[in-house]
Amino acid sequence: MVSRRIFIKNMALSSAVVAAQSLLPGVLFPSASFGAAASGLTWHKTPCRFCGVGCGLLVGIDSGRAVAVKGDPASAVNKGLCCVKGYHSVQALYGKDRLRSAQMRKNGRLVDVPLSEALDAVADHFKKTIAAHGKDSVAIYGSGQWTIPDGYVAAKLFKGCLGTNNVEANARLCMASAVTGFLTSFGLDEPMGCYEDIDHADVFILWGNNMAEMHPVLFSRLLERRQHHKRTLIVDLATRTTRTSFAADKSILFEPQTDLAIANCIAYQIIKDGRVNRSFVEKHVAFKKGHTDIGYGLEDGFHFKDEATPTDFAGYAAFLEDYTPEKVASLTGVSAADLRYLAALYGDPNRKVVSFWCMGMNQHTRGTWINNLVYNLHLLVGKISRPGNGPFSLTGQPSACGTVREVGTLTHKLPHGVVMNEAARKKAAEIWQVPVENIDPKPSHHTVSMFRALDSGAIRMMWIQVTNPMVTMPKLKRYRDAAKKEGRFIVVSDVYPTPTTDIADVVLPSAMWIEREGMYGNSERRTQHFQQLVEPPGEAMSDTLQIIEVARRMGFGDKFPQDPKTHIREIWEEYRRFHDGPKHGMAPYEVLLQRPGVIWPFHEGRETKWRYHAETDPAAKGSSFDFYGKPDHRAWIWARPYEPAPEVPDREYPFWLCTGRVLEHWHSGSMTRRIPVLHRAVPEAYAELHPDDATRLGVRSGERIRLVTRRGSLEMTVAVDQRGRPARGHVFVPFFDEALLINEVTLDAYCPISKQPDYKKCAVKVERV
Amino acid sequence: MPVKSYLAFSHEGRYPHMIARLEQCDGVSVYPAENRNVAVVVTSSDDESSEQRVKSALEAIVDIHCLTLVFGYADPAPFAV
Ligand code: SF4
Repeated sequence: MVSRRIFIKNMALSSAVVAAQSLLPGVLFPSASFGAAASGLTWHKTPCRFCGVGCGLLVGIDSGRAVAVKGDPASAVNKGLCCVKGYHSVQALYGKDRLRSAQMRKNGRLVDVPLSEALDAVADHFKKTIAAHGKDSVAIYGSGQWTIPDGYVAAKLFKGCLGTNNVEANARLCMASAVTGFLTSFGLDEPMGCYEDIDHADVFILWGNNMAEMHPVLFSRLLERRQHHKRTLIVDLATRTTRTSFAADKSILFEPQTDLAIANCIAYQIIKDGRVNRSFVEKHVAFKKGHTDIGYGLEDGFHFKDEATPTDFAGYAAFLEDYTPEKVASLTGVSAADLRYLAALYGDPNRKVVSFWCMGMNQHTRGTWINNLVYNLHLLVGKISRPGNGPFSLTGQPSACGTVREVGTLTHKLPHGVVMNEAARKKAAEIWQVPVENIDPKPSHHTVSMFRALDSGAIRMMWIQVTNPMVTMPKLKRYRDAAKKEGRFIVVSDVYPTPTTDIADVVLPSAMWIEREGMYGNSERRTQHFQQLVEPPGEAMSDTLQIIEVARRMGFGDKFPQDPKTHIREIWEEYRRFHDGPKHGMAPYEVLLQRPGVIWPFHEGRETKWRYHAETDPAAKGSSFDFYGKPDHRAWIWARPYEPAPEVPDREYPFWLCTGRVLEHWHSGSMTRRIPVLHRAVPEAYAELHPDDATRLGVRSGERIRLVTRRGSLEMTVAVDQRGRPARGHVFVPFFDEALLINEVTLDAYCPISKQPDYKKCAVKVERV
Repeated sequence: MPVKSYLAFSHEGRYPHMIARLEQCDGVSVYPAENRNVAVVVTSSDDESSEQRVKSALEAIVDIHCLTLVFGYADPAPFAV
């Protein structure tokens, strides 16, 4: 009899062969028993739990437990590949301290209580808080890791039933600048292209995006493209040398915040070199400028509203005169030759160019601007909305697009349109069957403002789901102290104890990922459905059902009549009504069940892979480009200047501090730190220094330093040339470690348009301990 | 009983060296493609610590340009609640 180990090895072999065949069509391997299946295992499709790449996985279930993972060869996202987080993802279900029971704070301590008692208490406290302090004294703070149904029922309960726009999600901290960038340039959110662009492009320009660690499977696809398409070039444009830089054909380092000047310089040089696609620009582009010197949101009550003023090509070209390569070289640290090289790549009519970015451009006090400026480059040369040509903003979280941007779980948004728009409110009221007056036409608080309102007392009760703000908020101490103030009531739904459950009054145990049914929407507009494959532990319940249960207890049962067995299908079909039509149609539930994801707009049975061109987009009028998101059917090029960061190194705080992620850990680490192999790989946070700085400070890898900013200080271990190398005068610290909270010292400055904080830049002092 | 499979790509001109070095690793089975410079690598170990040793051995092969994880299996026992 063939042993179980041999069965599994055969399965591993056949999975790899299938992955190789989808990457390298025609590849042959010696005959072997590739088709054998392991006894007892059944395989089921699901999107990965972790990052915004949204790989399709097949999860092996054995005796009711998830025990194996392989990349789904049928998934167009990853074609059978999978990264170390995805492969180990199922182990995150089985950590020893999984929350199995609800908890309530009694006499200062969290004690286990029946789930029904906790849900009663939550509903009761919402009613009492609203009665005492008004509807805007309560809030929900969710996540780009919410499933689409979670976010949908949250928006319906809070905006439709309770009548407050105090609905935000942690995607405000990661994707808001991408949203406002898309809206200001194109009038509609989310990328025009899809991952298939990788298979057609010649040049990839990565703007502050360590794809090798943050989007590893997509980066494998870039490397694979380069291996088989010899013209391929990967250019890494960054403030720190990373694994991506090492794999790139060219690595260019620049001073923080000066990407604004670099983008304008590239535009200047494109015009100077006569590389503007004149016919495209004349037919499809309008020129605008907005306010300048717009602030940083550091003051409570900060308010800013941008306005678009028309300009023209000549006005735009004159604006760019300040950005000659020589002037920009001294500001940015990038040589004039490299700036011209970048312009030549964008401007070459014989090369297809894709720009990728993620947190580097979004977590930026001018995040909206830098998004606009990279769009400008693609628009000037007409390299957009065609296979292999386009700007591509990547997401960090598995459903930042699906749940936050599409469902609209941000203060100003509705599932279709914004609260300020009367037609959008009427449509929402009709679908939700609530009086239109229930939906407040004024946005309330974005995320930073919401936590400031918790501090001031304007918000008294907050429900936090699938996110860990007591690790991830910038200038953390202020907001932790706010949450712990007298008269505040915090409810946290999560799967493990975290620093956020530590400050909770009620903890609700959540069913995680494949312990419930749901959908995620990834970076390329792909909606992916997953079935419940295993039972949740103890009394853990999905976030969707938790919200429905609380809504019913508050008297909104008629708005949430779903049957627990079919509720996800019912919610999806209700939600789809918001997105009818060729511009944003979503696939029916049955189609999602069958396929490893479907790209929207899904219209008349077909996906729309490239928007805004008549050959690929049924919503586009005419025979070529149609940027129908704007009333003038044109994409907008914005004149946006370079403006400095709010806090820059000085004599007292002479280093830049940049925070970020590592390959092995997912965000605040609450799941991946419970996966032994990932935890062992990177057990604690560290501070990366340039070797010259380490020598000057007299420290070596493994020794301790103290990082001091105007917000506080913390001690940690130094890492020199272990994974990444910051530039001289820079420090990099990952934020996954709840025992070393780097956000104690970060700054809560944000982009005044997107309200997204900048976690990449503040001034820090480094002391040897 | 961790079992994993990878696709292994070599640096330019180093494919035969990569295959030779992979074949010397304990706990590693190598399946070179017949018509392309890519190999399937399957690792099988008794527990997490021997798995770690196999992983370190693979990481020490300088001829490997890219090792992409495709499949993983681990018994439920080591991480049971
Ligand atoms: S690249 Fe992202 S989505 Fe894909 S397996 Fe890794 S963590 Fe999951």
